[in-house]
Amino acid sequence: MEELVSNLKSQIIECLNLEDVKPEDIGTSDPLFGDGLGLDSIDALELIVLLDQEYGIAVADPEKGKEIFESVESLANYITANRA
Amino acid sequence: MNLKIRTYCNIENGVVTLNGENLDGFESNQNDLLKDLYVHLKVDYPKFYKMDNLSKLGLLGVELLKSVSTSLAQMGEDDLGIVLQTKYGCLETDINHQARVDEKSPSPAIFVYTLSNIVIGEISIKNKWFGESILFIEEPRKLDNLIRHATGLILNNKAKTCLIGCLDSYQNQHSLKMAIIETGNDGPAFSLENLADIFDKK
Repeated sequence: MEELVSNLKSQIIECLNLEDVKPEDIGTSDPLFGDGLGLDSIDALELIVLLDQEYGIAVADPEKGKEIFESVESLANYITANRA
Repeated sequence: MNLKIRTYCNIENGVVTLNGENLDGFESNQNDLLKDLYVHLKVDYPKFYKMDNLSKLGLLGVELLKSVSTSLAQMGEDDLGIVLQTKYGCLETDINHQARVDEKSPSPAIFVYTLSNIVIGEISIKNKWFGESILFIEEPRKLDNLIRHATGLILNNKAKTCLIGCLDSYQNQHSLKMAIIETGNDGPAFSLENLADIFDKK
């Protein structure tokens, strides 16, 4: 789990071009949207693509997106639960 | 109406000039020019890094002008007209988008820049300017188009001030010419001859 969280932080930074943000700057349970990293709706789409391409997981129910992408921790939990 | 070219800037071959003078203390190479200029101008706008190069270039041109233009820095949200021209537009982003489609799957962050006038959108969002705007995609450059539209906006009270310019970013070659047009007595007259002289000054 720890390795997955660490990988996710690096992948989020690279995928979303978060210049000047380091993996250690992202709190595992900090919100990704709003007051946290300040991500927007396009970033949310990029995260869905990331999930699909890197982990082979499709977000079938858009209603669950808010819950899945709440934080790195929630994202890691979702990947762990749904990874083949 | 007495329209004047009040402030102008150029970026060409890695050289940045403001009102005809080299930008004080700025050095860069063509590869890192946009990022170096962002840092040099102390712009604090993290979204910058997510933009395509054309939008970055346009946004930096405006930041250059704002650094010396108090009227631009204090512009009311409906008072500025924006009239820009580009040759390549978002061609580079289109190519990147197609490459991503061919390689794996489209990137939403790249896709949103596959529209040339997004550069005006990014400038407007950053500065909260919501006045009239137009982008010409044309080659060769027609400065008389810029003059006609900018003059029309001001004469018809659609704008108090106009931001005009030509910009292109393709294969890491960045070219930008921008100017602020206002009524007043200071500065060169807003004529085709003066604009060509200022934009093409070496």
